[in-house]
This record gives sequence, C-alpha cells and structure tokens, in this order.
Amino acid sequence: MAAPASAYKDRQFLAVIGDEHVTAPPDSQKNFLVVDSKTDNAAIEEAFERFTSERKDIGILLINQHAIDTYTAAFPALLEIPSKDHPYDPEKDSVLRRVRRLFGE
Amino acid sequence: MSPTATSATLSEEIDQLLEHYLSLLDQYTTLRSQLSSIQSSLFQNISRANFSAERGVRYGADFYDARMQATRVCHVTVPATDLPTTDVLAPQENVVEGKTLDGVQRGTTAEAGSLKEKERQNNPSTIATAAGTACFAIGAVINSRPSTKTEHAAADKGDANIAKGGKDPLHMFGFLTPSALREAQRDSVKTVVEVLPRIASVDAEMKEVEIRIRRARKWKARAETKEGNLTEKSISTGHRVEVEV
Repeated sequence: MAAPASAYKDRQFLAVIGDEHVTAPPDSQKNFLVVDSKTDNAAIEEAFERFTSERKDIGILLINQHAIDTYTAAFPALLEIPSKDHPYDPEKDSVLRRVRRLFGE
Repeated sequence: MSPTATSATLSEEIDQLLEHYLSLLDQYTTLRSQLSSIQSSLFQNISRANFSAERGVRYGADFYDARMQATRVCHVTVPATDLPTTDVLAPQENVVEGKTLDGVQRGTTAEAGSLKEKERQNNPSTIATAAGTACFAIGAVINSRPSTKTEHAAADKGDANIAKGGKDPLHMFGFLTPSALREAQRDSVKTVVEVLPRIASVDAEMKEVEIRIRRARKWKARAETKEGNLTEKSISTGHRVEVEV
C-alpha cells in the first residue's frame, strides 16, 4: 500500500552515522555523527533515534555496516555502507539476510 | 492476486514474483559491487591526498566547520498507480560549460516521458518500480522543483554555481586542494548521486515484493488446505457410494 505523501514529501536530507570519511553536509542542524573509537554507544543510539524518529526531514540514513535487523520503517531508508576499516561483508548485509530468510535458509 | 484464487494460479504468481525478486537481487548485488569499487577508489584518493599533504595537515574532521551546507538533496516519490512504472533514478549527466554536473531527471510531462524513454534505452539498468514502492533520487539543491525546460535550465545553472565554487565544500580544505582530494570528492558525489539512491530504491522494492510473496504463500497454503478437504470429501463420498452399490 502506498505511503501517504506527508510521510515522505519533506524528507530531503541524507544523514550519516559513520567514520570521518563518510559524512554529509548539514542544513540548519547537524545531520551526521562522526564515530571513532572514543564515541560511546549511547551517543550513537541517541543520534540514530534522532535521525529516524525525531527528525522528519531525513530521507536516507547512511550507517557503517552493522547488524540492524529490527529497523523496519519505510522512512527514512536505512543503508548500511562499508567503511574504510570494515569492507563490505555479505554475511552481515541485512538485505541478504532477508533474502536468506525468504528462501528458508 | 486474490485470496480466493486457486493454488495453481497462486503458484504461478509466486513464481513470477520470485523471478522479479531475483532480478532485483541481481541489481542489488551489482550496485553493491559498484559501491565497493567507488568507495575503495575514494579511500585511496583520501590516503593519497593525506600522503602528499604538507607537514601537519590532515584532510579529515579537523577541517569541518559551520560553513557546511547541503549541496545535494534527496527526492522521495511513491508511484500510486497499480501498473509498474519506470522512474528514472539514475541521474542525468548534464554537461555545462565543459564540466559534467549531476542533475536528476524528473517530471511527468510528455517531454519528460520521451526523455525517460531515451534514458531507458541508454541505461539498461533503469529500475522498474512497483506501485507503493518508494523511489529515491538525489539532486542538487534548488529552490523550486523543476518541471519545465526553463526550470530545468535554471536548475542546471544553480548546479553550475555550486561546481564553480560558490558553495563548493572542498574549499573548507583550502583553495589549493590536491587533485587526489578533488578525485575523492568526485567519487563521493558519484556514490551519493548515482549509487546510494538506487540501492535504497531497490531495497524498498525488495521489501514490497517480499511482503507480496509471503502473502501469496499464505493464500496458497490456505487454498491447498481447502482443495485437500474437498478431495477428501469427494473420496469419502465415492467410498460410501461403492459400499452402497
């Protein structure tokens, strides 16, 4: 079923949670979080919550590849992208996990 | 597809959905490999820029400041028709004043339709999207959405200004940036404009098809149970008839 236009029409920004090489420019407030070894999990979770639930102007959220299985919302779209230190791993790709589940593996 | 269809019809529909799903999966894996190759080039270029940088200079988070502004924005569309539609998600390459700039071809006019057809011919990997599935596209920041030729031209002009340096985020790193850093910027733009919105769109469509497949499987199981009950009934009725004879 098609989502109502109000659910996506104002979503015009990309948000990023990732290392320093994977960032995006903000508009009025920051739409990125640079994660390094000193960043604690609470800060990452808070940023994730802010980009996915609070802000209604985020269209796509880019995040360095981690296992996120519980996120099912249509907007913002969540994309896991590889980082410099962690190359793409199909085993951890949530889309390919869904494919395996569909085919009963 | 309806819940009252026979199991044979539903099997056929499930097969068709699976075929479509596998083609989407193929597109997804292709886009993922494209993303990996662009990103490896991006990281190499950043490393090269840092290697050749002056002593003490490191092109990284230290240079980010309040000047940062969005130079690309996301467009989300959800086609409402039941017929599968083809929305152009791959950006159209606009050449302005000798520079290749990124723009997004959109619109529903007849002119846009013919452009879409051309794009489809030029780009075999154009994604066909189903109704109710979100399409993501990334374009340059413009004040109004372009719908006519003039507005498209205006949008291109706006894009040219960004590339000319008005809002070029690379200037945060100084005016004489190394060529490797400019290459890295080109790779980043390519990732954001060409690959990521297409991955997001394919992912959204895959989710939609998964729901349809699961629903069809459920209906098929129900239909099979119903048909099985009917066969059992007819067998038992036939047995009784035999006994009676």
